[in-house]
Amino acid sequence: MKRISALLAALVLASPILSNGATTEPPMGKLLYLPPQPVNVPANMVAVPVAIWSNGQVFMQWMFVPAQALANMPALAPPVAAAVTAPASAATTAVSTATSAAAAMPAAATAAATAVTSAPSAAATAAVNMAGKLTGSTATHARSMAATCYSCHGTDGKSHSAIPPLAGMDKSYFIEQMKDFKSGKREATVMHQHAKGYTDEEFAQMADVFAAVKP
Amino acid sequence: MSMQRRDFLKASSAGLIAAGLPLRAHGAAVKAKVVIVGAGFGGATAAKYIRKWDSNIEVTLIDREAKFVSCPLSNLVLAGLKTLDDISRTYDGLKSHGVNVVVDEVTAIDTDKRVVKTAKGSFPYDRLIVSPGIDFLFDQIEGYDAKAQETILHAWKAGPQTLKLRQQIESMPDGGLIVVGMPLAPYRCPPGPYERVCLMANYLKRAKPKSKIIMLDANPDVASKKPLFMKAWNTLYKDWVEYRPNSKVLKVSADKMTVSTEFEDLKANVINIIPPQRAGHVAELAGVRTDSNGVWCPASFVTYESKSKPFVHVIGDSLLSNFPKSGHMANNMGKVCANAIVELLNGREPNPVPIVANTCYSAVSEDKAIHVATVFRYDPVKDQMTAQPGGGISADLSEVEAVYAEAWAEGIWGDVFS
Repeated sequence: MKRISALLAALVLASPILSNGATTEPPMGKLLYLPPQPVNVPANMVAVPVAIWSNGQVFMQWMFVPAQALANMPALAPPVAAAVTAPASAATTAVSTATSAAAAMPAAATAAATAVTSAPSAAATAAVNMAGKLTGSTATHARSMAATCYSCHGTDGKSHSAIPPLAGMDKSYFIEQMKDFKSGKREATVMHQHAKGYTDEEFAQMADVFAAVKP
Repeated sequence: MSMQRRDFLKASSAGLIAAGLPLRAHGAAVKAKVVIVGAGFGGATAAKYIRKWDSNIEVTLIDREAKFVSCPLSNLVLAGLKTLDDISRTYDGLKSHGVNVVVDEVTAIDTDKRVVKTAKGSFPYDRLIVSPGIDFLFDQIEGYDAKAQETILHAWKAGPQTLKLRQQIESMPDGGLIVVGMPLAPYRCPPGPYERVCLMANYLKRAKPKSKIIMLDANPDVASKKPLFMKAWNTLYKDWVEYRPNSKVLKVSADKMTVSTEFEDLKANVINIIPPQRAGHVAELAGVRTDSNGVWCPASFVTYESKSKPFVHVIGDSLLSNFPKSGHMANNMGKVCANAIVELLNGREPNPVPIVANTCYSAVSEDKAIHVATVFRYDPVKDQMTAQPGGGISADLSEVEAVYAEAWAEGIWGDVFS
């Protein structure tokens, strides 16, 4: 059975930090991956990170809730709303020193944790530490996303055809190219269409996978 | 996680003896057994990637065919631009990843005891993937019986039928008529029938210029890459192709070589009918062909586990979804499914927001091609895969895309089978 609640989300995010604030290897790493924030949030709705408790495991998910309903939850409303309605500014800059993989996930995590703990700096530290090393679902999401590229670019990005290889590609170069495909700055026959399907954070996650492959 | 350790350990040791599998020479003990039925783009990909991501999972891949023949590019064989060998691959590469490849016909699947039975053996599983492709609903077309099927070909599974249809076209006299009939969507490979007409016309234009093709489309309009196919027909094949929408084939006669729709009866030299389709027979054996019409298989987009049978996963053309039924999609589903199964068998939560992508090239002549590309992302709120904005079709018919189409095929065959 699944129990879903925003309150639980905040508790799950915060509890390991509260119990073991100094950890460098977050024990809840694999539970904590928060998928990229949805882009198309319906009018009058707010995307809220929630924890889904299923068969003894916890994973994070976004849920759309009416903005009004959120406003009626005084304990959570201000920080969570801040995290999800202003991702490009306040929430993201809160962890601007983290790697780009961190941008989507710990921003909301930090804010949510802040809602129930008075130790925001510990939360931020844990979030940054976590981002440094992909674990659990984050790693498998990156692995799975990168694998969508392999269909054309070869397994692990090792291409043996007219399609360019991605194996061993420099991380920042990969990210830049994908952003250029997305914006139309770099012309393409097909890559502009694919690039638009992924977030910039996901470009960074895929870039990590390819940079780690020996060409 | 409801994995029963005792059960799968028991199943593992029993399986080793029953199937006569070689014991692992080194490394950790076998953690779990996955059986995959169907060694096409979906099943073979899943087999390779499960082994790649966790080599302690034992993978058995079962198919009745001893080698793979690609449906993508098979229309080039009809046009005489490729041979069947060019588009065939062996399973040797999969064996090098430690996949146990079994060439046999699946006869039964016991989803309670979790065993797949074939003519020659019995294969216990912790998780089963079925990727059986499609079966044809011949009985929806009057007269399309077993005997008629010897003359009126579908050639919608690449292989002997591809070669036979090629021979029929080659031996047709100049001035002859080919009728191609195609079903209502959804069917395998949305642009495939239109590509086929382009490439048949390409051959006629070169070798039998007085001949013609009439395409009978059950759909109200060209169902895929419409502006591009229309452009190919109007510019490259104006004298060779006649396209008729809303023209469902109702009846065929192999003796008279006629095709009937609601509006007309056509007499042709070559009749090629792509019948309506449903999930392959193996999906029925597994009890997962459970949508409201008993045609396709509903499953989770996170794990591809069937909505009707636990521990049975469904990928590829058999799936009930808004996906185009393409090899590329099957390949992508194979990876998401492999990823989820590896996580589940290790007691972890699968990636909750999978992404899959489609890239589908169609050749329109010997040196020009077109494509459609779409990225789908799981929307957990709606429990559906949402096509992301930005996908679309080629700007025009182009030579450079013909090069990429060829590279795509090499790339994906390598990704699946090498």
